[in-house]
Amino acid sequence: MGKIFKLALRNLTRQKRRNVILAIAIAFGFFVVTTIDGLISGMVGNLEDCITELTGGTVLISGYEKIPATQEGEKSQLVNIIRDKDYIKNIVEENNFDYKYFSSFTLSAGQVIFNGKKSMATIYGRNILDKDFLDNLQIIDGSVDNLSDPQALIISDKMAESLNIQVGDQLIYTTTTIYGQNNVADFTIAAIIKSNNFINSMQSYANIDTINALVNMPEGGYNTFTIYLNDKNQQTKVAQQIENLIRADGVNVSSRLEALKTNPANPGRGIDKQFTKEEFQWEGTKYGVVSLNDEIPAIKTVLSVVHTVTTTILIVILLIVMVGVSNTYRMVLYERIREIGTMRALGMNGKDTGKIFTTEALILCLIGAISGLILSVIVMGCIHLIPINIESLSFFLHKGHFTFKLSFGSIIVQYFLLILLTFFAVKGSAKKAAAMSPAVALRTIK
Amino acid sequence: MKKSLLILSIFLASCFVCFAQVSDEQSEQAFKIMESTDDVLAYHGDYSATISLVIEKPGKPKESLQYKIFERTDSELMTIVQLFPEADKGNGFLRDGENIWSYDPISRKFTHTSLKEALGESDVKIDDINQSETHWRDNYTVSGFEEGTLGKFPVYIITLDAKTTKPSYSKVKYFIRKDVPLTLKEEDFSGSGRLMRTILIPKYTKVPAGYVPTQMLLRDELNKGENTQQVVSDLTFDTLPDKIFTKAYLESLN
Repeated sequence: MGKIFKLALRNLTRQKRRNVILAIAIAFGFFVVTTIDGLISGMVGNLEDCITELTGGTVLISGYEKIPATQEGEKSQLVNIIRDKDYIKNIVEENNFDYKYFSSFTLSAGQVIFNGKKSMATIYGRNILDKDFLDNLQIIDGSVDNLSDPQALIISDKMAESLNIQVGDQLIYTTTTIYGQNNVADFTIAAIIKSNNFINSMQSYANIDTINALVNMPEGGYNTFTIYLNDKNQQTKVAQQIENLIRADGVNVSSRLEALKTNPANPGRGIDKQFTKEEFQWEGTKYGVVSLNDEIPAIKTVLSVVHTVTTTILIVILLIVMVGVSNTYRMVLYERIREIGTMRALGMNGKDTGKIFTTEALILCLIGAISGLILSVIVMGCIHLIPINIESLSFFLHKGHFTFKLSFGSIIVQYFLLILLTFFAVKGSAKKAAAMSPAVALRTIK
Repeated sequence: MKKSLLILSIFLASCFVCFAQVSDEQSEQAFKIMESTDDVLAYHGDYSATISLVIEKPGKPKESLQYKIFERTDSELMTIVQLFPEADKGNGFLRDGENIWSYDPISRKFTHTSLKEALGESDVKIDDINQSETHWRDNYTVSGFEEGTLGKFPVYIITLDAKTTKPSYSKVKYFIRKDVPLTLKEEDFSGSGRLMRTILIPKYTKVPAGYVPTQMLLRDELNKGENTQQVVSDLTFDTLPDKIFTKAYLESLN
């Protein structure tokens, strides 16, 4: 095999220009496909990270109570509330899920008013003195020392700019309680953080006890628990496990499997219906467990569409290139016919002759593919260094830069396809070379 | 000395609580007045009116909107057509019971929604629209009942605390004319007791069926300078033709 490999390698250096052109064609195909795949996967991944950042994790657990209607024609009221501070936390801690962190918070949506200016705001009531939480923030003005004030508010630079507000200023926040009544509170700007996109520019943070009091949430309560898993791919499995654990405790919980039956394309919506529909009535808290993929199934679909499209493009490019490879090796067979005859006369068997052809073509294609991959990685690295200041693209960027994500599985599939197609492209020439009689070959006059 | 001060404070506090409390008799009287404010309004039969809204926001130019409204209250039928600004002219809404259709004159398409869905995301609750006769007693307790003067009118000042979660504000203060039970002013308070919104109704028009508020001023107390003025004009109580409450009518206007 070593000898065949050596011979194949030597043959490749004989017609350099032709082989280089073939390798470039293959490299170009791989470069285009790998770069597009990497770019779109990176963009979708950043969007997913953005949403994960917004929701706080990849597995989301909410609790709802239902207040029955008191009059005919009325609908019962759904209240987003988890009273038991430790129940979900204990489940997560006791079952050793592989998570980066988890958090519980009270989410409140409303409007901030400052000096006649209004802005939409989403305030996360949480433990703002938590070290892990603070480590994730990029504070550009103000100080962590200000956060001990119960009315402290952390806002984004974009919001500060739109309201023309500074650290130390007081603003008014209007919202509704968990029961739907209007309420208002004053907050003092304690810190301004850097935002990377439109979504997190609207996110603000305040002390959970302050927000709880504002929205009528009982002390120690919260409305959402999120788990940021180390491996995003485990989210559906973990969500299902948590749902089963809650059910095993005899506590009311949504059914993911039922949601998949009612809304197979969007299980998150199916789970929502298990809370909002009038036919579902319960007493106490009913938990809803969803993964981010359940909530936003489009992300998974987009990624799978991207991989399918890029693989199809690659197949088309490879098919075109393989026509060239096939023709080239027909030509090579004709050019080397006397050489084949000599080698066969010296004792090389037909099978090995064919193997030289196949190995030569495979080496050529792999060199092209690896070059395309390397070139793609270099180009992706260069593009990554360019800062992008386009607001509308901010969801797809990571800290203002394009990022690229290469799927190992996709690359393996693409290389496997290349080997397969190359094998078929030179199969005819290799077969002819193998079947050639030494005497006939040596007699041939070109 | 400290002990005496403490006793005095407790005494004063309990006096305050006693005086602040509303007797059952006053509470009953307050509810009757609130119920009469509903009865005195012309809420039955057909009517049509032009509603003009002038929205003022600090640092922004005034915004004017105008709508024509047709309503058959007893059948829960309503048609609204936007008249101004010119860019939105022809936008329409049709309500038939629980169903609502919005009409876009550019695409000439109707979008259906239900009353429940339409109100689901907003602060308005079904109870605000389909008020039962007992909604005051069901949802509030009377926490204040006084007499006073508002402008030139002697008024009852009734403070209601929400006892259910249905009302949008946890405390509301009404200033109601003594001679005719018309609400002249409403103050809406947050759960923390802060004034959030004031509604002034300086002008009513008397029609055979009752009174209609023809001028209303909504003042956002949190964002000083933000006001919405609503003026009702061209009020008629003639029987409206059935065709007005149809999709074809909205289409025919454009």
